[in-house]
Amino acid sequence: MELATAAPNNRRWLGSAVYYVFFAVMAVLVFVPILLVLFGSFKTNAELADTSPFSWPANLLNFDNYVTAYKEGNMLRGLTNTAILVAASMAGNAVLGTMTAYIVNRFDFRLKKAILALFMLAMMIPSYTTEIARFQLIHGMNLYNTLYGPLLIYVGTDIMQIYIYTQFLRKISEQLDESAMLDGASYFRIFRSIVFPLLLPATATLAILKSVAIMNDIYVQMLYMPSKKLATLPTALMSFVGDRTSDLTALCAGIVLVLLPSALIYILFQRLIFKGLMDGAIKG
Amino acid sequence: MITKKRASSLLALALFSSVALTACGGNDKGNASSPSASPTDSAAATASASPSSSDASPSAADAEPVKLKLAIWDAKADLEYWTEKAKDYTKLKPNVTVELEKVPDNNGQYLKVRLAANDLPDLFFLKPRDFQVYKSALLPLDELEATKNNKYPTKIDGQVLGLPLVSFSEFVYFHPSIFKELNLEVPKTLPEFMALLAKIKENGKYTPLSLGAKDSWTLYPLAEFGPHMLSGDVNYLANLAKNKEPFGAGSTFDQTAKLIQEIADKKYAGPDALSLSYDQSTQQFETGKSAMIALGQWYYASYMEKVKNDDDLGAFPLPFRSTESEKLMSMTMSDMNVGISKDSKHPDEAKAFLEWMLTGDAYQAYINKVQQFSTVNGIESDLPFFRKWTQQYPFEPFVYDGTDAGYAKVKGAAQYDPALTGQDVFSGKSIEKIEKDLNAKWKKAVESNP
Amino acid sequence: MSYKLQKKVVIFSFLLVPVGLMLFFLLYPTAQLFRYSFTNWDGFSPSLKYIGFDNYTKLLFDFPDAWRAIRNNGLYFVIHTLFIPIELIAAVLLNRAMRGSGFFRFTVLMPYIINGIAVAYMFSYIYNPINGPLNESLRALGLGSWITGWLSDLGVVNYALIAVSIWRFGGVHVILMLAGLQSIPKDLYEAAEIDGASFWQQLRHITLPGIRTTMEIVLFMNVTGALLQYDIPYVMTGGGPGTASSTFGLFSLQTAFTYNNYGLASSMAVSLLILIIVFSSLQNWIIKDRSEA
Repeated sequence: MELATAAPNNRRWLGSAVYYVFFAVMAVLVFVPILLVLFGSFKTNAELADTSPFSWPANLLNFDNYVTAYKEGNMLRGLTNTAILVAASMAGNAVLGTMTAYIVNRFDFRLKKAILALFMLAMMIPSYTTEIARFQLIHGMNLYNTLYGPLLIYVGTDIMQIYIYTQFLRKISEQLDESAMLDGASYFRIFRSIVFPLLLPATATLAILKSVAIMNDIYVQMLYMPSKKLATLPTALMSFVGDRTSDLTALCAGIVLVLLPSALIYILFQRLIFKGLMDGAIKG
Repeated sequence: MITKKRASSLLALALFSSVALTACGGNDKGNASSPSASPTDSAAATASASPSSSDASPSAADAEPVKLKLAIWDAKADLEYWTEKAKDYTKLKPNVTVELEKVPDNNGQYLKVRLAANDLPDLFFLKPRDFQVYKSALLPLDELEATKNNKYPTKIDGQVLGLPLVSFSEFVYFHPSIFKELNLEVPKTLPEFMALLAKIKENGKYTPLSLGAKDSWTLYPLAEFGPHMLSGDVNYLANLAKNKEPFGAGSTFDQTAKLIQEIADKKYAGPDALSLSYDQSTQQFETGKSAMIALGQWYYASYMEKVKNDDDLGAFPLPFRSTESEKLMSMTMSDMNVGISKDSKHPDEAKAFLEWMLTGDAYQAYINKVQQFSTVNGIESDLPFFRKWTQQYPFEPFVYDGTDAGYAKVKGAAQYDPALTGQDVFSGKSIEKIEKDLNAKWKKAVESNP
Repeated sequence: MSYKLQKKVVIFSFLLVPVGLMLFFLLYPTAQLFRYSFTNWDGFSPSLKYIGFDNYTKLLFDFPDAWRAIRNNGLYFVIHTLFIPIELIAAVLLNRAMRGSGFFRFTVLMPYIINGIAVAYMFSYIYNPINGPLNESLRALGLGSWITGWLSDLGVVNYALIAVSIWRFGGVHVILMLAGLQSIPKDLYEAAEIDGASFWQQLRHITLPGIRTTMEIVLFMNVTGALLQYDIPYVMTGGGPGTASSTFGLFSLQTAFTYNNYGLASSMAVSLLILIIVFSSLQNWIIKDRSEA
């Protein structure tokens, strides 16, 4: 009897050991590089050369590197522009995405299949390969070197989120729509007062994912907004680093400054992010 | 409601673009240029004009506000200088503002996308090799005063299309203190140079030659100019485009490649120069950890900015000759060409500004700041450092011509980048194989571009 | 307004902008891309010439550099694929309710969320030959002889870059697989338990079919991610030394802009598009549900 219970206990213990060892290793792999950069950002260049990269910085209040990165790296401007891009694309996406999903999910019409096929096709296209042709458009619309160019691209070409909205909407019963129709509500009203609000959770998660995607994109931002005034976080970091690859401590500070906003978003909204990713992953 | 507004404006934009597209469907690059001044332009122009109204000069108030754009690649000293100087120009001509624009090079992309879209800045910097790309978009500058005064105006197909701001030579910079400590002499021939590297390496205290080969372009004094210099032929590049197999054994390319290979194999540039960036290599030199660095005259200004004095700095030409009986030359080229876009809305103002850039105090202060040779007759740059060292180690200029159309075409078709090939050699790839591949590509490219 | 009319209005007005944007900003440029791929356009001249399939012939038979570049993409694909079983194990482990699982889940996804460009620079620092932490720690561990030019040695540079790619994208695969695992109803396992199914039988008949849809997504991400990989080498090595760590995407950009061959670069982009479609359909066919066949 004793043996019989001991065995599963042992196995459970072994299981947890595997579990914790596995994830401890993973946590080390994930956090150590980030910590190293963080340490480096508080050191002086002489200190970095003389001490182990794993050693604690001598002066945690040494913000010189941050001052350099902030001033010469144009980081505040970068943050502002990134924030504008993110906020505006979120809004645009939320409106257009829900509208499209509403139509695609709730209505049958001629050309529906064709339009769906177009969307499917569009999802496959690796976007940066098409930039020259797209550039002609953006330029023709006088949107070159403005925030609107990238904005239109971010809002207009994100087919994935239409797809995810449609998945969400599929799970929302049509009974609500029908009873509203019985009350004589117009389609627009149904969309505004029922569908859009019901999709808000999806909107929240998509918004976060969108902001991650925009913060990670460099190509569109480099190509359409070369002006220094329109620097975004990643492009500001790129030109900052380009000027001073030997100044490792300032480089570290620049990296931390650019990591920080996305890390904060992650910490604040991790629930939403997981939900978004996971809901998006399992089709209805 | 805001969102509804946004949606309708998007819609308007979409419709507008569809009209624009159908309008120029046939040849969409030919006339896609924007017919109207962009709203941001005029808005900025009025904004910049407002201080001028408070300006004392009454004539300026009547003049139409003009905004010029001047694009420069990532050349820090030039950007800083002209950004400041442009403000002086506005004081002179209150209706004109000149906005500086830094354009990242991005694998040679520079302004090509904007060229394709007919959206070039009014004035922009050009490297010699750029002219074949931009030539059809450039305004001829033949009748400018500045052209008549310029020593090296860039002529393409019979027309002057660019005026270089500087001309410079290539040097090997060195620390005299290290040379003294190790009892070294400035080399006069290539074998002497290699022996010098070996000697410093043997001593072990210093890296002989700093090289930031992670940034491929830093290899240009060797990889790009080596074959050219060793050939002794000023038209080397143009002739290269006519030769079907110019890279084989015995070619000057081959000689240079072996040179680079030796530097790599014997670690003359340190244990892992391919991992070092340009910035890291100059830092290594500036902090006295290495004895030499081979770069252009333009490097002097940035050395001074970091080190503040040139007490322990010397310069000699990289001696691309095997015996002292041959002439000692150093690659000398004009650069920082300024061209004016054909589509500039204010060509006369752009020309006037270019004239101004290349005359008087504006130019004198510039050429002194960047410490390079003047390209303008009658203006001499004050170069105490280079005067001193070129007197000690004199050489004749080897004038670089990188504007040949045939070379540009063949090079593009064969996808040949001397600096990248230099990296290949440095990384230990077999020279024989590199040459074989290169010759094969080159042959096809020459044949398809008669 | 009748619902019939309303329907027409609402469909038209709601779809106009999104479909318009998609047509203008995605499909029109793609169509142009196909067009350019049949020309010799240099990317800037006003004139271009149609040259039929010449670019494609060159790409297929006469362009070893491009093949070398795509071999690097292949390497990204293969190594990422080798990591999928490990990712799956991580997902299975994470699916257990353990103390600290929230934190581990947080950790696993972290690299995907934080800024990718900053991550690339972060690893540039880690690999740095002067005072770089990787070399320093190897030295501290007495493994100084392992030190190599992480980004300069031809035999190492691609693996060094792929390690960054794994670091960045491994976690999101785990989370997606976890989503799949969590979508499997618990009672299926309970029923199987009652029927006396073994662990492997459960894995074979419940778990794997249950996560098939998410695996499709992971595999699709894997293919597109590997084939489109460009920002990590772009930031960290610029494709160097020489073209050793260039990827197909990066190389096509160079073909277009450095070597003024936009036509050829367009044909490369089109091929990439086709490759992605072929590969992901192939993968989906491989993991297709054949239980009813």
